[in-house]
Amino acid sequence: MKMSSIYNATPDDVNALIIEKLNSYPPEVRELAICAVQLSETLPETAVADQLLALVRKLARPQEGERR
Amino acid sequence: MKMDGQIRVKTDARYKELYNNMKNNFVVGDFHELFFVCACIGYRRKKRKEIARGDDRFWSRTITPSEWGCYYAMLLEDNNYDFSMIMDDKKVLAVIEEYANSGMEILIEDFLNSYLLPGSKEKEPQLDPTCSKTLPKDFLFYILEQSEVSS
Amino acid sequence: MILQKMILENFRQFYGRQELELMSPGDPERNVTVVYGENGRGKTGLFRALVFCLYGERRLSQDGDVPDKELQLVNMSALRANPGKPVEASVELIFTHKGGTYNLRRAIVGMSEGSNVIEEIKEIRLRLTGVNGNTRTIDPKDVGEVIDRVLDRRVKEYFLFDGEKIERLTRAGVEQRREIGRGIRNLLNVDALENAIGAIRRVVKSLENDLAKSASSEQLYQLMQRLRKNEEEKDGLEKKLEQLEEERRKALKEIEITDKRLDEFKEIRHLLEKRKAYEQQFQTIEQQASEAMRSMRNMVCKAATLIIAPTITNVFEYIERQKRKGDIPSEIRRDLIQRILDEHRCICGNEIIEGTDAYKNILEWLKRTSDAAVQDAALNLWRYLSEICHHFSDDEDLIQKRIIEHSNLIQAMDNIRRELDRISKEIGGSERQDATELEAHRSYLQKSVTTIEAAIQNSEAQLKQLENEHERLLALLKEAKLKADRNDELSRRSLLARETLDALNAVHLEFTREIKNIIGEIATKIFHRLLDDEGRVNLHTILVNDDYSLEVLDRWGRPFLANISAGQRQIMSIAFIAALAMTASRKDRIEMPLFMDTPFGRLSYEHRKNLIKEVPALSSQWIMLATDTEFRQQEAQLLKATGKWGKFFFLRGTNDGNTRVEEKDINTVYAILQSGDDYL
Repeated sequence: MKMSSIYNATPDDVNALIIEKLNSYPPEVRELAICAVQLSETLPETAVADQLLALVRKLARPQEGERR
Repeated sequence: MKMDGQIRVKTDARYKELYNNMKNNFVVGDFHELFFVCACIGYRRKKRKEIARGDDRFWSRTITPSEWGCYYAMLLEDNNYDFSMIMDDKKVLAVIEEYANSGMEILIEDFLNSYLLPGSKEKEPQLDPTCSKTLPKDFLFYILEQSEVSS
Repeated sequence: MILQKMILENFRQFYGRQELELMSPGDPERNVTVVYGENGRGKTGLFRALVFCLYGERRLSQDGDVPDKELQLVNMSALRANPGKPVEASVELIFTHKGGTYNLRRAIVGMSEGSNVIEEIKEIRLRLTGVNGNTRTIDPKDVGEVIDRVLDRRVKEYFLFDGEKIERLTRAGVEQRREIGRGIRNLLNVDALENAIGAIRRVVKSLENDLAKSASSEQLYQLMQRLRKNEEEKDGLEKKLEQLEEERRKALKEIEITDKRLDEFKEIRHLLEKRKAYEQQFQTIEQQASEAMRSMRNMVCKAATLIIAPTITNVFEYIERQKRKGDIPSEIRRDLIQRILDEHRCICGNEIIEGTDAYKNILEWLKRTSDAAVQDAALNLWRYLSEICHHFSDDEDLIQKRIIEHSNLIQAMDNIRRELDRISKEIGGSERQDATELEAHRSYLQKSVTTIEAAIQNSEAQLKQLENEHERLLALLKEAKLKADRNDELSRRSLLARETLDALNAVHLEFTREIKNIIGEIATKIFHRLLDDEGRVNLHTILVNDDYSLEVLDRWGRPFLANISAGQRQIMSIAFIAALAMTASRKDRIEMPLFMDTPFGRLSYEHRKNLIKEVPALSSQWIMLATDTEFRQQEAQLLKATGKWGKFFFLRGTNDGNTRVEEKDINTVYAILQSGDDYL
């Protein structure tokens, strides 16, 4: 049985796994996604959405990190 | 000995219901048959009994020649083959009535007892309708047994 | 988790306080408990008690549409004994888990008001004794969390293997896929991820609204609108599909019920025919018997004649002798002799004088003759008696024959009556089922299933189209994004949110696939342990497809599901549910008491043997719920051989409709079953 899989992951491990899987995505996508998952651990969906909106605005600002 | 059909044959009034019951429950076809059976039983046991309270039961015209023959035979044997004893059918039947009367007593005591309505035996015996289903066969079997009883 | 003890008080059928010590102290190896009882005695009730105590839930998924009213937990007899007063029902569990000992008690209070019963949760108490021996009482509001850590409530039902669930999984189709999909989603344990996906979806929507208002890039705006519309349609269709599937499930369920009733009818059809034949035969014999009775009645006089047979014979022989002697009929007529005597003159002319020898002789003649009437009568009598005498022997034979014949007929009637009773009992009350009506109802249901299925197909095709459209739109969006003004912040926000949503969805899908693969792997392993030799050679892998359907591959990796037997299908379902349970336990062993409502139904001896051998090793504890038809000599023998059988409880029905739990020594039970008796 695979050891580093969702199968035997504790809730903490699950986040590590998600982060690992998000590695292949662009940094701002990755950041937004990780933040969404982390916030979701403690907050309900609507509260998470509110905070994510703020983060989206920040991440989408034209900055030097424009590279794709 | 003309097999006179104009005689009213009597039985004890006590047996009126029983005669009716036996006919209605198809144990016998008609009254004369039950009367015949009783007469045979009474005769075989050599028991005659006067009828206490006579009651006309049936006309002698229903008696079959065979039955008549048997009645005559009984009287002849009883009277040392004196044919004069059987010349008057009325007299013949009067004797036979007494045998039948006695025969009915025996029949009730020996056999019908367990088919009677409780308590009816002493006054006017009546069949218990709930236990008469196998009666025709049992009756026939009983009669057959009587032929083996020594007199 | 090992269940040590269960204490029920006024819970469901269990009136008063009843204890089940499920493990023998100091004998942890014997982890199999058999709970034996007729259907309706409360076997599933024990699992219900477990679920109630652990989670405070009264419904099991198998309850389906059963109204709450019928799932009353407080015992009826207890309520009746205390009219208008509150009655407490409780379940107490003592179980061990990871070195700790848990003592959990949950109580409910019920009160009858007229025909209604009102129930209310009263108390929850959990005491936890740690490895170090210290005991602490858990705050009631934290109990749910603590118990969820022992066993997540979402997966609880994988530990009850009931026949219906197994049956559902053996059938390919939407229902099976739904069941499996639900199971796998519950096992994923990625609540945060799912929550995050929901949140991002909200963000996407809100940003697209903003974009629509500003409309800085017409093309992008248009694309996003189309995408949104597409997604809304997709959501709508998915909901519709779900509804349709639900309708289909209900219709199929009803077909199944109808079929069962029809089957019942089919099952009894041959019995009905047999009964009809017997009834006809009975009528014929009855007629013959009454015919025989009639003919016996006609024999009464003949029989009576036999009574006086000696008399008849005597008289007949007497007349016969008289005849032979010539006395009857006499050679000389009496009236002639009388005339000779009266006229004192013989027929020859000579005078006859009184007192002479001749006169005396003639007088003697007179004595020997009788008158004509008497002689005629005697001759007639002789004829009648001769007739009767000649038939004595034949008559007796005939009467005896009739009596025997009649007795035989009565005997035959009795036999048929007994046979009819037996058949009627076997037919039971279902005989008057109107099969035609049922068949009409079934064909109506079948038609609606066909209509629903057409609608499903249609919706699925539409969905497929929308999905293709969705992909195309996403590609266009990506292109548009490249062309979009990088300084258009609104567009950038919206695109970022959407890309994040896609990323999280992809992660979720990956997890799902992973779990599916793992379950497939575990199920395959268990499958191989349970299969017989032949099955092991032919059947290689259990696969959970992307659409959550199950497949079996043969040893060359080809789909083989269509070819497996009913028994193998059942084994496959058991393996799959066991894999779910094992996955839920996150161990190589099922770390929960496994309640198995004996799934031996269609299994061959070899499969039963393997199941009985393997399940105690697969799970930490096996609680086998058995009826007398499921647990017999053979099963007891196989179970005893595992050395794992520890306990036996008999659920005995009491006169008041309740159930009393009786623990029995397993050796005694074994001996009884070996002697060939049903324990019941």
